[in-house]
Amino acid sequence: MAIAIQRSRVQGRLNGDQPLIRIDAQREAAQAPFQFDPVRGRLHRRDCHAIPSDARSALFGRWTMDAHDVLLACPFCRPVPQGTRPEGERIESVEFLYGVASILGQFGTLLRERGKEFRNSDEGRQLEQQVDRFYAQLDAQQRHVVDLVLTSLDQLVTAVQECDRHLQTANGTGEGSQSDMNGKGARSGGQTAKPPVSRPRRSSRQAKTGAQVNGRRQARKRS
Amino acid sequence: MPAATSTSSPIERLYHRYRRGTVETLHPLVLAHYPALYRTHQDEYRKMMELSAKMTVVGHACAEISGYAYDERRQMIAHLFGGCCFLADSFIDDFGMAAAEAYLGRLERLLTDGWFDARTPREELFYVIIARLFAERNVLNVDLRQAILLLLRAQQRDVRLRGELRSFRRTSRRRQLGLLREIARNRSGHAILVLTGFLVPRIPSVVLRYIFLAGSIIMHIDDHGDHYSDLHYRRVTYMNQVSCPAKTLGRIVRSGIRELLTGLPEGNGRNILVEFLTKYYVTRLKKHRAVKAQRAVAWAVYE
Repeated sequence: MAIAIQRSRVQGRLNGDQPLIRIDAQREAAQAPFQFDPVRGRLHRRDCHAIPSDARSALFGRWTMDAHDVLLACPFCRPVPQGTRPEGERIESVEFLYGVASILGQFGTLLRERGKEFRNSDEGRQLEQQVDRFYAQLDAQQRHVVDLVLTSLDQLVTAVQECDRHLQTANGTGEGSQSDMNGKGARSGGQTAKPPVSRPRRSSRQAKTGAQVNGRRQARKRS
Repeated sequence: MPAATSTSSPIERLYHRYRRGTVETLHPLVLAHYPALYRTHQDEYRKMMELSAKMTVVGHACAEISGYAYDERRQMIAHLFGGCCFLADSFIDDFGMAAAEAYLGRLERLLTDGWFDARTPREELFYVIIARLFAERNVLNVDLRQAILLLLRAQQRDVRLRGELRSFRRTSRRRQLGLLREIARNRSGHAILVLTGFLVPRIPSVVLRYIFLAGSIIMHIDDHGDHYSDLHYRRVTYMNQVSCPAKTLGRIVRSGIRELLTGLPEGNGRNILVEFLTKYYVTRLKKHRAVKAQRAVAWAVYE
């Protein structure tokens, strides 16, 4: 599946300007209220001047302190526990909604294709029969709840598609070339508009696959 | 590969067990995505399996030190991590400077926006393994994602240094050694934290320091074993630049193990880690001497 997604981007079926997932959290980590030095096992406040220079390339951003961390506190800046939750662990349902919306927006075409394929497969037909049987066994009120959920999903998909179309129109991606998008031909972060899904995005040179890695073959050393 | 007997040490029995698991996990992936590795590069294949078994032993220690049982799923994660490390190291060390820089650039893109161009079967195998690893643990865990990026930065610094040897040589010897030691420390220190981050949901701060320390010791031992091949390929490391490498390594290993014994809570995890480091130290001292006396080549597969 992971390879299929990557290949879809290479073939231009997915928008490679939009991020798939961002693991890099260095900016957020640098802004965390505490910094943990794994070299000496010391927890510092972010701006502590006692952080050794040779430890700066190894620091971990920390948002909370627990009882054990108090024992590791730097004696100069004396960090104390705060109630802030880490950025990456903050739970907000609206972020889940945006997450679902972004996946539908980015993978909508693929999901629909796979859905059609699956529906026509033996497995899909079996599932359809099971769902029909399940639905038939529900009473009126339960059917109403299921209908409501399905309608909400439909509305969500429609809203995402509308939003997506709106963004493309606003950024001129629907008709113009990529260089028209922001007038400079380059986009920082690629977090806004996306070009039509079917448009190939890779040059022929980049799209080549299966070529051997170039460069001098050196004797492997790690064992 | 000798079978573990009833008289073998606990660490050897672990190695024996994990070698089997490594093959079970990685062999099907190799056959599916890069069969040439098994069919035509047997040396590399065996090295990959041995490195993976080693990582699985280290993972066992780190999981237990962090307070988690080392179940089959965690062992499988460590097998994958070992395979991933082997391939990543090969991209950095084996195909020249341009390939190393290109790989790091593409890895950075993978970590920044999730996209990765797998252009060769070797790269496809790497991506398949890394994708499986990412699926096994919440890769957005705050510590894990930081450790991954810190490891990437350490690798980038290492590769950049190789391209800037002339200006590096113009700095004071003290500064050179300090920088080399820091790079070695970060490369393996963060690698072992990435491994632990994939194995357990949370690494307690009190043990994180010691796991990082163990990683840095592993790097120095490894670099001592590779002393001559590194010099041959003009790769400077802390261990091939100090004046008395064997003596320096002995001091690093002894003081490091002493710290681990006093800082880590008593238990199976700590015992495995110390036993592993001791065994690794002894085998790499032998490798160093054997290569020096030209009785062995750097390519030989070492336990």
